[in-house]
Amino acid sequence: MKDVSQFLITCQPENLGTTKLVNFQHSTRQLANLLTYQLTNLLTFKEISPFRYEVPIGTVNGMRTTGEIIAAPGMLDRIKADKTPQQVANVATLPGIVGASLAMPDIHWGYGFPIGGVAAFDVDSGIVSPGGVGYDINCGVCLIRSDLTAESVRPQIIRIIDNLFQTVPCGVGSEGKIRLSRKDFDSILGIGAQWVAGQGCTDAADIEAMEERGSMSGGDPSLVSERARQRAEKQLGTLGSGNHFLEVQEVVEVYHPAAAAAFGLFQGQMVVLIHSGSRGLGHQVCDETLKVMQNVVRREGIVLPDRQLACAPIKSKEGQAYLAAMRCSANFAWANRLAMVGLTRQVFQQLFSKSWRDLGMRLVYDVCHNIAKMEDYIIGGRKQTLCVHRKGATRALAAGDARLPEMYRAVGQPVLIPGDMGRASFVLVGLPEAARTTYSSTCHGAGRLMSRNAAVKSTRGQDIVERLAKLGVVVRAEGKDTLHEEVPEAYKDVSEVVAAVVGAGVSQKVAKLKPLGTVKG
Amino acid sequence: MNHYYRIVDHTADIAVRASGSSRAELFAAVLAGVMRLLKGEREKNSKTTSSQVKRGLTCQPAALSTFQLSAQGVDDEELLVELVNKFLFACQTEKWFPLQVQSIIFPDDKSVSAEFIGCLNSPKGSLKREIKAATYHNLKITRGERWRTTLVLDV
Repeated sequence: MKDVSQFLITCQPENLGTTKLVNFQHSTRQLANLLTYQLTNLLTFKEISPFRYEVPIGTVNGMRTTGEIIAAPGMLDRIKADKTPQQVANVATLPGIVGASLAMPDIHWGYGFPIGGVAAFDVDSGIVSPGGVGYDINCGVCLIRSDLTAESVRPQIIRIIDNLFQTVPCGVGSEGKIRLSRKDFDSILGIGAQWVAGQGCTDAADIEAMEERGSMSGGDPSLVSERARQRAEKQLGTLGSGNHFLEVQEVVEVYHPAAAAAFGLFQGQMVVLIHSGSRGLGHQVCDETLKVMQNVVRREGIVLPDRQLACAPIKSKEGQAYLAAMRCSANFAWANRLAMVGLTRQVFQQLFSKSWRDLGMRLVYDVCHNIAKMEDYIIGGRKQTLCVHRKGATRALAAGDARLPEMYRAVGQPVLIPGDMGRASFVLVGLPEAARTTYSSTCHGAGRLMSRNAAVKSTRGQDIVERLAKLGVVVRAEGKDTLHEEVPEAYKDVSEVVAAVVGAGVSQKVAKLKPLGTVKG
Repeated sequence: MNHYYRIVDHTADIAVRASGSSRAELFAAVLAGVMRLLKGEREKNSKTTSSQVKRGLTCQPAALSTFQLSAQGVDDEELLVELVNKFLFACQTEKWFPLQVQSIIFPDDKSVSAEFIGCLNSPKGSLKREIKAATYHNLKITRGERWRTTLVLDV
């Protein structure tokens, strides 16, 4: 197909080629290839220090600061080809940004902010952006440890996974069995996981093992719309679809015995990792706020390189309203994951005829990946409160941080990094370097390598369940397509991602986990 | 309608690239692409024809009904995002199973109304894919010989 197209290439000469208007007859594919070629080959990174690369000012117009990408040298070509450095640069144009626009090594193309992006904004002069948090507000993971060994559960793994698949609702449009009154729903929006704790197979000790103790203050349920409520009212305790999962795993390697002991982890142990978020509630809150913020951007005269970066001054009425609704969504996500922790324990209780407490099924920790939080840092020698956006990134506090629960204060925060369903996941611990260089942030997972369609195409005709069974992983999924979209090779190798954050000094490896069985939506 | 759409891959998300000989046709093309994704159909290109209307029907023909959605926005991009997001809400939360876009009307420059044919109360499993939202990411509606756009969806 031939097509007459106009492309305004707004790249700066020193980095990306000449600014020019190209007007010629070309196929769409040829033009796309040309643009990718230019971006891939002309963008240069300056190595700041090992595993840290600078995206220079000028990469896009209007940058207020530099970009900074944490990566291993071997990852750079792939990152450039994905065009994500441009997205890192776009974030650097936003008002009130403090320090660099950051990206973790699992960075990949997002909408507005890249996935794996971290950016901090001054509370007085800066903005808050729903696109810097994402649609799945407080998408995150939690890890349950146990006294069981992988060896003891392996003979029963099919039964365990089948029971988990039956008990934890998953898949497109999945609805839970928990029915909430309006009062209960409001309570969850206000206090999050604290509403769940004590019900079913959960207790108050779970709260101590959750980021923010499973509840962000400052949420205002009255600012959550009826549509957002309607979207989530039957979704408490549901996994969802896409990349969300519930996985039974084995601790196959311990790298940091002291931290592993503090987290209650040992080699050969069976653990359970759950990945989900705020479901339809977060999607609706983000969607509605983005529309409001399109108007704010016009009113405030903020120039954006991408409308998905729509934002509002933190102290404006709209900025505060978003933060209040976002906190409610985050609280719903914590409640959702803890409800699934309860359902998981219930399954093990039934199968092993012991209480979950006697099985040692305590929560190691629960972390969020998509959030904006007010945090204090020392900037230029003085304490400054910043609104830290993490979109596909994990908070990673170092030992001694007062925000950590007493049980982890001596070693640092457990950081949970899920991989793909065929290879591995990791438990890391936060280090002081993260507070100095990444606003106490690290990576959040493997990061996609292939598009969903490409993954489906490349595995056409394959029986994914059988293929994973040969690797010793039992898989149950609601949607057949999901399995093809989520095949291991669709993701980067999480070991490489983890090696980069370890190399940059922001996290340290504690343990490696391998899947025994997975429930997918 | 003389509209066309194509499903375009992105690493983490999916986009619908569409064109039409009018603004209404462009909007209809985008919605047809979104419908195809919701139903988990993987063919990348489609010219919508009447013979495709009843494909994947989840209710008796007698139970077919129409539903209307409207959206407001300051420009075409905002109208499109708002309309698609309302459409996603109707399908994913209110259990509409869409079959065809009947009409797209622009009462004025700041509003759009759409009428669809579909089934009410579609059973679980009718929709094969969850789409979180339509995004504004790099969204631009251009008007040349044809109206064109690429709408990125968060899935």
